[in-house]
Amino acid sequence: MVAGKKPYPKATLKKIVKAHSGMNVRKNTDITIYLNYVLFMNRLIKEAAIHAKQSGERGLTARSVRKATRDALAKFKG
Amino acid sequence: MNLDVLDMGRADVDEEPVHTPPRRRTRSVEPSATRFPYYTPSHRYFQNPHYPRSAMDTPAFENAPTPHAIAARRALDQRRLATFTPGRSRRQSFREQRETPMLILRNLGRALAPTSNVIASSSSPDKVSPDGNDDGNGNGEASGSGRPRRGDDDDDDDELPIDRPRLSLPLDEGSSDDLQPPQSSILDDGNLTLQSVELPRRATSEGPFSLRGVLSYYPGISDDALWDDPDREHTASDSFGNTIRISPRGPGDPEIADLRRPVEAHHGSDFSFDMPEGLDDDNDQTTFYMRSPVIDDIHSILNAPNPVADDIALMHAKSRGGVDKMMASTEDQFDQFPDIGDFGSVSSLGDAEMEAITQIDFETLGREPEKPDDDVIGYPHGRPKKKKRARISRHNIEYPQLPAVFVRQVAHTAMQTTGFVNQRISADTLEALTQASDWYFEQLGDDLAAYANHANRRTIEERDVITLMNR
Repeated sequence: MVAGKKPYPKATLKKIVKAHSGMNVRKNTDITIYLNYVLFMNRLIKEAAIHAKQSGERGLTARSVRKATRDALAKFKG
Repeated sequence: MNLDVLDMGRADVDEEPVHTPPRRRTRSVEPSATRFPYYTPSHRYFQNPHYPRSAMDTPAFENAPTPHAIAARRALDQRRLATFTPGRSRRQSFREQRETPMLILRNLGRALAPTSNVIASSSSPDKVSPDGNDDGNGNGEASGSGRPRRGDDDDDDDELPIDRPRLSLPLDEGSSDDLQPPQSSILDDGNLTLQSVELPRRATSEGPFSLRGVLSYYPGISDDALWDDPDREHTASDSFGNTIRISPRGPGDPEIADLRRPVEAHHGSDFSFDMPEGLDDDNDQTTFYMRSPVIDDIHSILNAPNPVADDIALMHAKSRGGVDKMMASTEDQFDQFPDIGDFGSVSSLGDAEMEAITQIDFETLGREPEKPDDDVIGYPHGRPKKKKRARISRHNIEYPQLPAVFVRQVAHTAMQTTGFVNQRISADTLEALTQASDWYFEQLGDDLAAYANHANRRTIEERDVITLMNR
């Protein structure tokens, strides 16, 4: 990763969360949200990889991702 | 040492008549100071089997403790026990200080004892009490003791109208829904062996509608007895409410009669026959429609003028027209044959409605990007809005889409751990990931808002996220 590159689109993330929750977001909260998102993505990819391997696919496909989406979302539900 | 002492004791006994030497006397004069802290009476008497009990019993034994000495020693030992091993007693003393429910009740009782009165003197005996006082002091106690009994009788008389309906329920008054025993999940046809076997049962409210209802509503069977006179049928079915077996005047073969159940018994489930609200007045007997949550949805969609419904209505004007036409036709049929009631056509209408409705339902789901359902995912036309930038959240706030590059980057990082040789992320995979991310952020926003709201805050804080992550 290039040093000057932004690690994540902070403003966009904040806007999205604000829009969905209808609330304000405190200063450093979006970092934690980003962390949580990365964890979610890890989980999603991992589950999707398991699905893909079970169905004998090489590489990640959209189908396996869609299958894994529901489980991963349920795992990250509050 | 012990033996030595005992020997000395015996020597004392032997020498008692004679003059005792001063050396020994000094020893025996102060026994408690030297010996008894180490040799308690129990040590001497019971732990040493060689010690002659006769010597102990003889009053001539100088060192034998007098009763006062024994008592004093015992008190001393107890005191020492109390100081050195306080364990149990001390805990008990603490336990008594602790508040137990019994203690609370006891205190309450002590507090209320002086002020409380006998219950019998509360309401009805008030009129009796002056009589008791008028009887005189001599009979005061006797009448007092008799008074509560009289009061109890009065109370019983008062309570009877309340209790009695509960004890003897009239059979013909409708309480069919709360007192019916669970029905066996299969039909018992009087087979005792079958009855003795414990089979899965279900509550009456969710009885097997498919067995009971549908068969009796089959068009071939004209059982207008069920619909012509609902009141009579009601009483009849209630008087036999607990047995599936029969309505005495059931037409048709007994098998079908067995299957007929009072329709009211099914009102607990959400799937039943019901009267449409608007049609009750003019045509109250034969018009009904199948009611289920889905169909309720459809009716609300068809009737209510909300924008989504209009949208859907435009898109599916054809199917809606079909449904309307079918409904109209069946209503016409009912008007023509009000007595018979062609239930077959009703069920077909139900199916058609169902189909149309589920179709529309799918469309509705497909048009709302909020539901993370497999239906939506698998639905070909499910991609709701093509415009990337104009997305409106539930709170009517516009929000930008997550940049695909960012999603790809995070996903690529996550891919490192999967062990895939080919770590490329194709376009449709990326689209699926982006969709999942959208749903994730939507869910996240809702949850965070719920947490912050719970804490009476209007700002989402870091600990909300942490709470969510710990969840």
